[in-house]
Amino acid sequence: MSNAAHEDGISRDRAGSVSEGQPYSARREHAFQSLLELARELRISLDVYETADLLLLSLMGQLMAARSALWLVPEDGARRPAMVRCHGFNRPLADAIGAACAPGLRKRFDEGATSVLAWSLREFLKPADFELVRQADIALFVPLHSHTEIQGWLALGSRVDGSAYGPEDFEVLQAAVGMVGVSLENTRLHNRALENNRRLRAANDRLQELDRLKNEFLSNVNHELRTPLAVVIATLECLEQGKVEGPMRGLLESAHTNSLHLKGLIETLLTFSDARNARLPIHLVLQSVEPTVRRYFVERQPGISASLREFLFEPGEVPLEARFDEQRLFDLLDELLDNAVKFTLPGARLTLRVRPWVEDEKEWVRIDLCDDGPGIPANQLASLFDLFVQVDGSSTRRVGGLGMGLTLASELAERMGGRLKVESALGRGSTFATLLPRS
Amino acid sequence: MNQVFEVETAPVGTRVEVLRVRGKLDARSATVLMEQCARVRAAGRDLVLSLGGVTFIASSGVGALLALVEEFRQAEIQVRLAELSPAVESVVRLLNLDQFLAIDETEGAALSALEAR
Repeated sequence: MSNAAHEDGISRDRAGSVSEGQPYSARREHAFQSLLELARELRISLDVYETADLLLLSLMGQLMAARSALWLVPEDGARRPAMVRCHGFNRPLADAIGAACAPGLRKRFDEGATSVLAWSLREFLKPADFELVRQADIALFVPLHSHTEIQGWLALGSRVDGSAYGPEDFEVLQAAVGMVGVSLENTRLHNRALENNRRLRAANDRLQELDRLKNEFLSNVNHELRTPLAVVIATLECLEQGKVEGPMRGLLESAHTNSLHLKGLIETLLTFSDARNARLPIHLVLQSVEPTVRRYFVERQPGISASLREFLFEPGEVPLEARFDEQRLFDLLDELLDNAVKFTLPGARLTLRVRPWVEDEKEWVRIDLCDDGPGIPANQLASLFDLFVQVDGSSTRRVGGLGMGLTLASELAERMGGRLKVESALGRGSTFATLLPRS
Repeated sequence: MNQVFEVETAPVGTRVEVLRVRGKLDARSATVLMEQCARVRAAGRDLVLSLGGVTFIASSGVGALLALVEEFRQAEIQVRLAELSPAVESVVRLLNLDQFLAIDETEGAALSALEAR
């Protein structure tokens, strides 16, 4: 019954394919209603992953494909596209196909192609890579544009009835990806704005707190500076006027001691003005962990999503209380989360979970941040928290910045009576576990 | 008829699970349904999707059905659709999907078909 021509198992494009037996108008009506639904849902969706599912499921239903995938181009200009969602085939395969086809697809899209048939990529791909495309049964690739830039592209599998995609199908595709391209750009801009606001707010809060501490300190130090200084000046004046009885030696020693005292205070002042050394106050409160971590998750999620890492939260099943300082916990989680983004590629998945934990015969609440990134070699785990150590030289060059984050996070955990641990293996991702004391 | 989407789960023995779907199957509810089906698939159980209570099925609902049937096929686990509501039946007929989905009149028939394999 299928009238599609197959070459190497992939349908070739042929003009027109209308399902037998159903009125043409009924199918057009169905396609129209589907596009309306997509448009309606896009107005509400503000998340990249949600939008991807909307588009893929809707197109699969309209066009009768059992497989689809969506890749997005990361904003930092990385060459490798991030695999955002796939249906009907597994993530590693989708990831590999995205990377292999990217150069060929970008070339065709730059030339103005509004769709690319999978078999036509053969000239750009190594035989092994073309075999992956065949294995995944992908029929075509369609770009998502916004204004003049490529946001990413989607792949659709062959239709379940084996028929080829026809002109009406391409019309539907163009309408759908047109809407979604713009929606995705809006979503990314919106999330980026939220993230920038969050960072500004956090930096502002931190600056205000440091400013207050600095003023307190300075007013103390100011008083302390004056006393020895006054003694020095008075002593010296007395020496000049020759009024003092008793040994000269005593006076000189006094002047010397107070000068040294003064020097020490000034050095402390200079040290304090280096913000990294400021010891921010900690106020420990026995409180519920899950609502706090949930608040943190909700605040960070848009920004993490915008950077094309899927961020998930798994609360525990039982309400758990622990003793901690909410703002310092947020600072700690910030260090871990920023690290996770730095050391994973777009398309990675990060998960935050809360659960009870027993260690060293004590009860803790354990907050895990897991990633499915490259993992850390065993021989580097021990020195991870040492100041200025990063896992390998190449990572330092790529991501920049000193390795201070983990040391700071570890210190914060300890100051709250808790601890920070890491579990990781090469190729298996990492889990950074923050333990907070339950009592 | 109640329009709120819900999925009722009814395991049958240890090898099969019946999921009864009610309400509108659109973009939002489709992802909920897929999560439930993924759970059944991960447990290695065969699945009967009972769709008698589905009042409306959008394209995204159809896409979800196609995706999950494909994923079960790759995992070599069986899935059958049962008791299609008029709404689902008309869309399946419109798109000629009855050729590619395993469909039964009743849950009982679906369970028997699974046992027979």
